[in-house]
Amino acid sequence: MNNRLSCNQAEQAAATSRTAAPLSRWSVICVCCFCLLGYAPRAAADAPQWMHALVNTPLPAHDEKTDAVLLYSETSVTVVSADKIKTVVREAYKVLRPQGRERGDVIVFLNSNKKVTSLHGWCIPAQGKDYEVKDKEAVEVSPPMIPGAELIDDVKAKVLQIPAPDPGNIVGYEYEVEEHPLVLQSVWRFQEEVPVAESHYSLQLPAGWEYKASWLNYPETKPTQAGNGLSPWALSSLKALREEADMPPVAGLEGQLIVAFFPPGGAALNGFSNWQQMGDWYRNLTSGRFDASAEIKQKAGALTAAYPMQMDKARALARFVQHDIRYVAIELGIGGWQPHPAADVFTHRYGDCKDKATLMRSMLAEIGVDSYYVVINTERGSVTPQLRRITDSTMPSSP
Amino acid sequence: MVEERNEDEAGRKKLLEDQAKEYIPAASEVELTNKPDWGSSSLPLVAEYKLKIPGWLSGAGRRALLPVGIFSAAEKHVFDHSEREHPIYFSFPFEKLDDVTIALPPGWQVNHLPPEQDEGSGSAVGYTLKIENNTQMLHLTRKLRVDVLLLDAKYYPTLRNFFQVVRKGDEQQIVLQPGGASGGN
Repeated sequence: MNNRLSCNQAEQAAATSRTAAPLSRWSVICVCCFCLLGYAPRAAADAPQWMHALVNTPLPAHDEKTDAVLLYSETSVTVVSADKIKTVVREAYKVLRPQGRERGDVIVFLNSNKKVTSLHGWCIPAQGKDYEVKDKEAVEVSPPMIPGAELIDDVKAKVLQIPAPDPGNIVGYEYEVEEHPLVLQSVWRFQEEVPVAESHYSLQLPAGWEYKASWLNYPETKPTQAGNGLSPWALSSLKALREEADMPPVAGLEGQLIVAFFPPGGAALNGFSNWQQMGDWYRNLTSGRFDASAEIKQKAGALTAAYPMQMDKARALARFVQHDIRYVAIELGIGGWQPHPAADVFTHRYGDCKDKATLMRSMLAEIGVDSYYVVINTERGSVTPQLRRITDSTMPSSP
Repeated sequence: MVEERNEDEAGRKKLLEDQAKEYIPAASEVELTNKPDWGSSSLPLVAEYKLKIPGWLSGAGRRALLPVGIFSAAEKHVFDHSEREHPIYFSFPFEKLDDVTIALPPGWQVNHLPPEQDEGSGSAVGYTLKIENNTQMLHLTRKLRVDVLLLDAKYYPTLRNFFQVVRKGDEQQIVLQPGGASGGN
């Protein structure tokens, strides 16, 4: 789960390399990382049983251009409390073509609210002994800067290279992340650019908790069993999501399950089952952020004094926010969603889209104009009227 | 283009020149001759260039052939594939208008002009091409309009056919010849 509200449309950090579409952005950083790693000695150790069980698994339908297939994916989400979620991910690919070697690069994202508590990778070669790599062989890096975004955030990544991800071999990994959730929501992205043989997701909730599941780009599917707070889902033989020219954003095409969960007694402050609750959440998050400082009041007055018409006054304020406030996104923790106070944005003369919208709202109030945040999504199809969610691609509109 | 606002003048000049080169489906020499206003968000950004396309005019015996799609590179290979899985998504509706005046060298005349074209009038995509011969001066008007954001994949064959028509239109040639009788319009 990421926590970002920014105007930048570049794809944000996904959970692991397999869903991190802009892998090219990572190529440079990975080269650097692997230089640092110096190709750590390959430890010969048995891959776990769950991977060996895949050796003779029939491959999902694929064509000759397919670089790899995902044989098995398992995501187990355990909600310990409203403040703590543990997620364990297991995945294994069979590499089919040299271009599929990138499946041996494991990238797990973390931030100040999310830490990686374990990370292992293995390779089962077509011939010879298994290889193993562990946490200590991973390096922690900051994602590359997105050109033009001036983005500063607290997202980091643990990068692990699995040895010998060659055609015919099976590479797999397992990691656990522990998260202090900013919103009570989990997303299972089960489709990717290679065919998937089998994908599992499970949600374990504490006693008395409830969840609401919403499907996007895939027919609604019931859990395979239910009881004791555990809800598992399983899908198989999933088609690859091929890249095509002029296609909609992947987030609007890929099959996803979005699960919102709630403690006993209904939605928490950071959980929502309808648009009203999401609006309330955002209103709480922005409360007091647009209060005008003396300096803002003075500037708004000076900028608008020459104009008798309200519309001209509003235009003058918009010009100021557009031209004199530089776009710089500093998104740390909840700062990915919560704007900085208008007074700070005004003083520092920089901010991201939600910061600019906040300052604009503050200045408009000084000329007697009420204004409101409008949360929009920048990736067509990733949010629908039925599917309320806060994602990487939703943001308050800037003036 | 937004991020280039933070570039220096040389960087902006290079960006605009590179972008102009990308419009032209042949090697070209492009030089920006004005200083566009990058500071305004309300006025259009106007760039003026001096450009040379050395191989654009080709010889055929005594005649010379001039393809009409001077700024059509973007449409050269669009929707090449015959099959389509996903919907077609344009980030925004757009219209491209090329208004080109070509002065013929003294003594040269038009032998043949491609016919006027008007495809997709009233539909979501449209293409018009018109070439007028005004004595030693050719006036070429090309308009490509895409007035759609998201199109279901089932409409891909229609859209692909449309862009094939655009390509064929752009590949048409004006035939020029020195002196003598002209084919005219």
